[in-house]
Amino acid sequence: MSGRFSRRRLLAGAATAAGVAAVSSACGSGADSTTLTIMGNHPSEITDSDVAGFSKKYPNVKIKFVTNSVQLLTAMFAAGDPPDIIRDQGVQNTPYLVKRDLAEDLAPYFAKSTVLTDDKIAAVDDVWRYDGSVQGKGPRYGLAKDYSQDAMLWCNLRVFEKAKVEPPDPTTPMSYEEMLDVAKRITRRKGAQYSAYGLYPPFDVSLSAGVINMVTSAGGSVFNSDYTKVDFSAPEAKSALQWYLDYADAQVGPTVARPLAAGAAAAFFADQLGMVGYGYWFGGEVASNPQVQDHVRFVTAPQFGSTRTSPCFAAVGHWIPKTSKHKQEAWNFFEWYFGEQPAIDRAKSGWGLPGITAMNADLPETKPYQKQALDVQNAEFSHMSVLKYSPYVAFTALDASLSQAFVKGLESGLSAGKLADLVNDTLNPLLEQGKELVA
Amino acid sequence: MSRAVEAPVVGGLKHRPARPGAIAGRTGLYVLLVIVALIFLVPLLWLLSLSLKSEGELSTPSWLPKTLQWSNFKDAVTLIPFGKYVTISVFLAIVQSGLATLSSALTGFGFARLRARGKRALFLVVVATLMLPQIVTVIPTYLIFARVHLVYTYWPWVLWGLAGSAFLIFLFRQTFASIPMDLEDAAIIDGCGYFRIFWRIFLPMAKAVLVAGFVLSFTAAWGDFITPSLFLDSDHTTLAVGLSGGYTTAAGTPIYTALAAGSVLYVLPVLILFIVAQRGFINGFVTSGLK
Amino acid sequence: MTTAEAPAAIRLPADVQTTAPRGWKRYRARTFYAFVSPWLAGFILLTLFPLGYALWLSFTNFDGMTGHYRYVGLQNYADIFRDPDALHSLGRTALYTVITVPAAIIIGTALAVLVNRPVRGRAAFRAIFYLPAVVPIVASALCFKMLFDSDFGLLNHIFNQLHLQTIQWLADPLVFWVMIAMTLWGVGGTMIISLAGLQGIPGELIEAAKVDGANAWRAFTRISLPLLSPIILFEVITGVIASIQAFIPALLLSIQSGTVAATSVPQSNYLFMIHAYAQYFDYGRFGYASALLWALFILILVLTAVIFKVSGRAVFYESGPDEAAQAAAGHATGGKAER
Repeated sequence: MSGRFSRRRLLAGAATAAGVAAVSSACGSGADSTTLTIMGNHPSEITDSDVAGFSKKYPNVKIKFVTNSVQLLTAMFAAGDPPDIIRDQGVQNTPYLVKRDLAEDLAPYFAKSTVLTDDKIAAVDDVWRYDGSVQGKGPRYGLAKDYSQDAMLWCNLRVFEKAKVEPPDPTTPMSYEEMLDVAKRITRRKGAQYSAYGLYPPFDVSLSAGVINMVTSAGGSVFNSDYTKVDFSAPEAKSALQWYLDYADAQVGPTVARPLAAGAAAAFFADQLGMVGYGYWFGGEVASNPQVQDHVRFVTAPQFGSTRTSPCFAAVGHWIPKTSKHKQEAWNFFEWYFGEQPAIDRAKSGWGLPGITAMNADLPETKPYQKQALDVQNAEFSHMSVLKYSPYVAFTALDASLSQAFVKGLESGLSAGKLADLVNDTLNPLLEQGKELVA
Repeated sequence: MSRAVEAPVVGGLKHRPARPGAIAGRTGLYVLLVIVALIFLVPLLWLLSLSLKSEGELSTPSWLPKTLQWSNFKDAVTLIPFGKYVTISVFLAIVQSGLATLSSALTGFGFARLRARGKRALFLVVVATLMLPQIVTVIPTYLIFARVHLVYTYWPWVLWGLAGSAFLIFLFRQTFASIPMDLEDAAIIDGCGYFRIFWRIFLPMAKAVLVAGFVLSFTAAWGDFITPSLFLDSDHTTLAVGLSGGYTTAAGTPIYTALAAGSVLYVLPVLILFIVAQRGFINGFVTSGLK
Repeated sequence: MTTAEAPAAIRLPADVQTTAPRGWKRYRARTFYAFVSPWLAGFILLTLFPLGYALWLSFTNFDGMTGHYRYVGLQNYADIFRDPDALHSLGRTALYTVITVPAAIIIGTALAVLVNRPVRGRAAFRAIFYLPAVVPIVASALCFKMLFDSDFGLLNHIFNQLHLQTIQWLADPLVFWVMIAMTLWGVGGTMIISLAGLQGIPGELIEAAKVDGANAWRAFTRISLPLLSPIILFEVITGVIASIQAFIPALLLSIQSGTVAATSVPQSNYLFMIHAYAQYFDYGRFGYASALLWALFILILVLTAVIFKVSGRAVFYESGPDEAAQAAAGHATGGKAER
């Protein structure tokens, strides 16, 4: 039958083609060029000019980008062929990656480097250090591409003017109570419709980081001493949860149960948000919104407890997996991207603070608001601290359980104690399992 | 055999004297259609207006932005390699849906017209496949394709196309099952094998479903972003992936205006396909019987 | 897909197979497997293996990245029953399905009937109704979030103008209905399928009925609907299957970005797949999530079998070889032989 032949031919054709494809790709693209696989954001974080500059220095190395997604990362690890450079948040994930034997110890590379030496690297990159028991000490496993002290605030002065309220002082920290009080006074609302929100607290980057920061400032910790258990019902943690509940009750800003549809930035630039908890990087967004530049103010981080803290919440950067097959090329890229022209370009753009201290000189200060922001930032560096995370549970689980508990709590009116129990009950079994898996 | 009655098809243009009530009925129908169409259009018009607003205007309820920001469209095509993504998306969608439609028609025909032991069980398996959430198969499928070095190539789409889609198989099976036995029986008596019967008789009769199946399949392939995000590298991926992650600031926050503009552009190819393919629906079919 | 009104001479007895040449049955069986071979091959390679992998994972406590994990037997499955979030999400999914599937079929088919009529600009209407189904889900969710935003959305804006109390649309409990509206907005896909089905109904049947005095409604319910029933069954089954697996609309209507989107979904939108998704990618509980999905799969399987059984009476196939054989064998099941 002609029909069956053509079908058979089709199938045979497909099989042959697949075979040819397999063979040709197995042959590789020639012995003298390697391909560096990067899981990162291209071209927004790793720009085309970054790639072009690298290719000029190392013409034999081709760069391939893969989508930045957890699914893909898991799949690639399962297939035994992970990317060579992986984007991640140093603050939250370093202990986890190290304890699970995933990240390559970069100390030998740093030791031999001239571009990336300890004296040049900023204090923030301590978050990418882990010695097996404490985050912030030990060998380095990655670097931040840039960073901010994310608990700080940007104020829209027009909202304050409209409410005839004094905006906060740039260098004297408010307490969380004061911040909430100010927010109440500048919020304008009619029924369920807001014409101005008072506050968007610094939880957008990471809920867990925001909470851990508050708890640390109050002198407590959500983890026990060896990071195998959490206890959110301890007094410091419970009071942090309570603050969030109070904030939600006050109806001065968006919460997990009631987010801003267009995002905080859009509201801020439309003069509909008075205070937003973002770090220095937000200045980059302000740069592209000239209409707001004459009435913004950058302000120091509020203080929850007795200690003044202003940590970094994310330290987005990259690490190299132990099972990568191109570690030297990956390191070459590290040196270029973190230590040379790309880092200078990033500093000049004002989208974050550079990981190399000397490049602070490249931060923009042409416009008045940039000068003001830089002044405040310079005063803030000394309050930098490292938030500590547990290696036994993924930070996403921390963020997720807090988020879920808040949603339930806000909708059903639960108390801080109940919320704490919910979070403890979700996280402790995971921590236990994590400890067992890693042992 | 010539047909006894050659009837105008439902949906074709009829030439009939209008009855008095028909005109009023027709206007009422029109009004209803317009109202429903407006309801459907509102979100789309809102998307269009979003794509022409500036960032500061995003949070305002106005329909029309103060000035039309055509620059959003420029951003949409420059912030990501738009042209390249479009070409790849079109190519993959056509390959996958074309192959899948044909393959599914074949398989659906088998289930509808042929009898064999185990057919019932197999059909249940087909339907059961529909019930598998994509997450379940995605990572193991990556493992398989990684093993044979087919990731970062376009071959997975060829293979998925050839394997057909459970959804379309089900659809074709239902369609072919509704066709009476007579045509088939007569063809068999005349000595035709089943493939001829499929190709010459059943397939033409199912044109509307073929078109519908292709359009739906193309739309699904066009909108799929999970598989390209896993199997293709960022420079050679589809528009669906490009759209969902590409319009971000250096800090990773999304640029909604560019996203809205990009989405408007994204919809156009499928819209055009639909308008073109729609003729397949209008012409219903006047089949010519058995010989 | 219209068929000729077959003149009597060509009518063949239903048991024609028994008078066919020998080896016919074997030929048909071989041909059957030949026809379904592409699908079968794809199924074994691309579905069976992943399914087996997921099943095996569901018996472990794999966390996605480590090499260390162990076998836990049926523990994950037992945990499902002790997980209040899983059970809650099952309830929400059931409610969502029961509302959207019938609504989508009724609206989709009604629209199909409307655009099947000879009206001017019919092609434009069809395009308008289908278009939402094509818009990328990311964009639709953005649209709906903006439209229903309590501060700047169109709806509250109108409410304001009308001096009505403004409502918080995107929070519980109303956000559930926003999600349903978003789902039904995409009803164009169902419309297309119903339309294709309608196209296959011979015009002369309707004409004949009208000549006999039936009005449009009767013609529809007595003739079109039964002839459409296989297509409608298809839509019911695929609709139920799709709704039970829904999660992207719920996910995108919650918080705008972030690593933990799944867990900031409001309680009333917390669908089963969102829970599974959270377990996979937020909590890293791959083993448990695989168990959740397998349990869902079995649930859908059972539901579909039930729907098929129940529909036996309601679905009318004009005549396929199965039905003809059944009629010949004397079983008057749901399928009826052609009159």
